[in-house]
Amino acid sequence: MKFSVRPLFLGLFVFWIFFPFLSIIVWSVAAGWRFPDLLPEEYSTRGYEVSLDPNGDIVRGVITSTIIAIIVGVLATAIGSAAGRAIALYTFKFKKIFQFLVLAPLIVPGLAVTMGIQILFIKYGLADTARGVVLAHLIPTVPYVVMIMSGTFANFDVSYEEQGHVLGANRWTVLRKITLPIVLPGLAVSFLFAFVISWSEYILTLLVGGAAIKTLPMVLFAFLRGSDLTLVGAASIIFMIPPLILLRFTSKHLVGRSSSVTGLGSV
Amino acid sequence: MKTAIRITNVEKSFGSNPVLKGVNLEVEGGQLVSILGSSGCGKTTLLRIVAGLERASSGHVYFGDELQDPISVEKRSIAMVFQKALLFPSMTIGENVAFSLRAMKAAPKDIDKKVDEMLELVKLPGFASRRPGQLSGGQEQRVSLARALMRNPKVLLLDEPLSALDANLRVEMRNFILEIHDSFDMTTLFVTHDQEEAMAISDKIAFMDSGVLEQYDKPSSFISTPESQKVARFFGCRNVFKGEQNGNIFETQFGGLELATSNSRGKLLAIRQEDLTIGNKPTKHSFKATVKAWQFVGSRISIECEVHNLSAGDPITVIVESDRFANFEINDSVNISYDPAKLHVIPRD
Repeated sequence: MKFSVRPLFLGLFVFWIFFPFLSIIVWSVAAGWRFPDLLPEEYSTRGYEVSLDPNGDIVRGVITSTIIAIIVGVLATAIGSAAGRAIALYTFKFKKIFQFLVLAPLIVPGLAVTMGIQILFIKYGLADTARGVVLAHLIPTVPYVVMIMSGTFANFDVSYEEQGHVLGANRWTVLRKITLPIVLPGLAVSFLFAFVISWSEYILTLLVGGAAIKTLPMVLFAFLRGSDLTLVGAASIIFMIPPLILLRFTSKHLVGRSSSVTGLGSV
Repeated sequence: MKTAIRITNVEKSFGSNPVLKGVNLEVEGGQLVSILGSSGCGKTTLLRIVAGLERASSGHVYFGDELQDPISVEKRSIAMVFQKALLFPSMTIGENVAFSLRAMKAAPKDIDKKVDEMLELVKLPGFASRRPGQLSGGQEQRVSLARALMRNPKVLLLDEPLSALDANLRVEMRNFILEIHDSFDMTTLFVTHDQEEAMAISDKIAFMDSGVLEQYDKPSSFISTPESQKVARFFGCRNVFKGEQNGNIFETQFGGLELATSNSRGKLLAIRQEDLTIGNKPTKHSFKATVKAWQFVGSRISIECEVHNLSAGDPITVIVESDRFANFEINDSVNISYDPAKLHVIPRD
């Protein structure tokens, strides 16, 4: 009988990816789980009850994180799309320098940049505010959007826009009816990236938001220090849900037919 | 007929590269005019300036007496069809055709009726609910034409709309364009690099070369009376000889040829290869030559002959096109006859 190693490797890969999730799922419902037991002795919904308390820190953290991540997603997609379009479609002076500056936050350590902007934010009254956190989250998110959207616009034929104009449509109509539907896959993927990066951001939020802005990662870190692993497990599961929901709606743009317009290839 | 489009001294440069060098053109209302030339001659740039998609470096564009320069592209009474059909992929065929009316916020009831009528006109009835990817290249271009016509434009601009189609479809589509043009009250500018296409459908042709309008005339004039060597060569004239006109005789390097008129002036003589006949016996208007090569061109034969150069230089090559029954061997001595009425002195180099 012919032996194939392919299923074995695939199984190992899936186990490697999903084991941490499995462990979290079990922890989230474990009432007590001691070494060397393979599974917990008792199960409980305490973790979820505490996590989903409407007045609890986690629900408040989810709300704060969702609002901030949506705003960051929208702003980063708007700013990054404009820059991506400029890079992909236009030639202008100092284009290379512009490209470098736009992508610099990905290369320069974020912490170093944050230390610098923290002083600036305190000066302009943005420290410890949600506005400040949103602005800080744009630093790591905009470069990703620029990369994705420059790829999208590199595959975009501007003749479509010209065709719209010669048919009597103004700029706004052309943008709404022609350009946006064509680049929608790129926009969806950009929003997903920006949302997920902002949703998971801890250091920038801590330095700029201080104790005033409690996003979900901030709450999670506090729980981790408290070493209540049942609560950490439940909170972690809740932490994963919004990005997964978003991924569900944008996944069709990540792979397959539209991959050429997202500029990501078959991710 | 009143002038519909007037282009006055239009110049355009991209950086330090001049693309249009002072183009003047007047198109009469209701005519179909082809702007013809090879790649890079500036014909598409000129069309884009008329559309308002490009701004001229200097010069003006008028529709009738109305200056178009300050009018933005979407407010000009134009519609344009590009080389690619550019059907908006997020819309159905019906929505594509309706685009201009919706952009102008026309009543929805009117739109559906007009879309159906227009699709009927372009011979695609019942296609309104289909998606762009479900159509062939020719069908897509017909939809693109229908979409343009929905605007009821005074000026229809066509930028090589047939060049992406295969040969048979091109012939069918060019006749279709002519039919459409004739059934609408509009003036059409048709950009093409295909002289056969331009000859077939145009009232007039504007021939451009290197950003200069070389000749603007009716199609037959480009064959019988080209105004420059470039025009003569582009339209397939293979015999252009240098020389001097002396009364009604044009003195070429291989002898004098009699002209039908002494009014023309120029230093180049064009003789189309199909206007020459090859034979064994001399005639009143003939000169001696030697057959050097021949090849089939379609169903006819192109015969390359050499004529003795009187100025002791290299022999002069003369091309004669004959029917397929011509029977000559290489190095045969022959007589090439011409009709003085078909010789044309080119006024410009």
